[in-house]
Amino acid sequence: MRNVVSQTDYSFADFKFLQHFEISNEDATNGLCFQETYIPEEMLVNILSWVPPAILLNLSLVCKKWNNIVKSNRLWRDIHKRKKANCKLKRLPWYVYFSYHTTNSFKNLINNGNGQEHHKHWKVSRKNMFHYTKKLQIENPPRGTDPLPSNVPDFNGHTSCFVTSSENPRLAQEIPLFKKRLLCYIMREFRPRIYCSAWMASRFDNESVHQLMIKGYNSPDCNNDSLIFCMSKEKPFLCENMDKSLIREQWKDGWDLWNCIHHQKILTLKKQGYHRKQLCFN
Amino acid sequence: MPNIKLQSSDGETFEVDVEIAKCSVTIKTMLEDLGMDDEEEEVVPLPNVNSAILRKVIHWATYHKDDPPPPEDDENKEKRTDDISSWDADFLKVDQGTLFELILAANYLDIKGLLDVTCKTVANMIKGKAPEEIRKTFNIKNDFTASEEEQVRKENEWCEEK
Repeated sequence: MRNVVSQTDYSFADFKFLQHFEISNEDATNGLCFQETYIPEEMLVNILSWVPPAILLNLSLVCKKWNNIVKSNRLWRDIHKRKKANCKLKRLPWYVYFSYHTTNSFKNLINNGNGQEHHKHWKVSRKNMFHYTKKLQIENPPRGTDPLPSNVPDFNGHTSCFVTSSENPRLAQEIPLFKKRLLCYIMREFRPRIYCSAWMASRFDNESVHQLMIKGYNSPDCNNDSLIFCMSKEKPFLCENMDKSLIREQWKDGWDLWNCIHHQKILTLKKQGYHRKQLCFN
Repeated sequence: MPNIKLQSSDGETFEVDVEIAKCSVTIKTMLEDLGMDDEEEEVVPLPNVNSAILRKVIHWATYHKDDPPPPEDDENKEKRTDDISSWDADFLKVDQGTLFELILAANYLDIKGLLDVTCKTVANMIKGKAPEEIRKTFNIKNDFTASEEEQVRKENEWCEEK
């Protein structure tokens, strides 16, 4: 079992999941005896599968037996089965299901994809060839197209979206994967599908071509992994010029650059990184 | 309606409507396998359930006898712990020992509805509590060494970065 390391030299690279704890004979029923009643382990798994997934990890501190159960593939597969009854269960370790059920990492990774919070989370890319510093504007509802449909889950009921312009506006969003080390780890180990979506419509007075792109960067120690998602008019958009300090060697066979070219109608970008081993939960 | 007799571990006999008894898959299978005739005065022995618990189980099954069968694979409806009916919640206002014995009985008798609702009730008891409180509530010993506990805490922290 790995030694405890201090915060400062605790890096991604040497992270290993703890092995299950050995339990001595003397403590064999500790955590399974509730007051006087002995509950078989599978019953405790059943009970814990009803606890909200987000707080389960906290229960690993109760005792070794609970830790072993809370961090078991069996428990998380039960939870997944219950929440997604018709899915085919993959043989994945518990922490993949944990991440799936307790974070938004496998939903839309883009924040504020409808511009519902104005330009929050978005920034104008630093590179500015033609001295424009224009941001893509937001219209609520878009005036040049039909209103956003109300039955698209990604909209979450929002009615606003970004709109094109004949000028050269752009917006970019960086998703710092290195701040989510478990997601980073899962991406490297299992290459799951990731999903980004933002929404753009044509302005009523022009029909310009716009692009949405996503690009991924990784670093040997994972400490700078990120995704960069951008929307702009230029074609091709030079991702390399966005922020040199973020650029590292690109993932081989990992990430790709995606373009969607758009005229007039509401555009949706639903693109996923392509990977050899794809992980799909549905 | 035909009745059958169920005998608890401590020898008490309960006369129950067959249809109610059959909400237990274990009893249902037993009756089918043994080809028990309704006419016969057979007694079904339940060596794993004492009379106090069996009485509770029959009470629960009688109240729920007309429930529609639980939907097997309903993908749209996320199962929750806060959907316990008020009757069930009242029914389960019992001491911990009884609650856990009901779980064991529901498991042995294979009564899914009762097993779910009892497990949910315990899950609810666990929900708002810190590890230390949980240990106290259920009389669990903290068998971690200080450094082991630190390791677990570290791992959790790492996993919980959102």
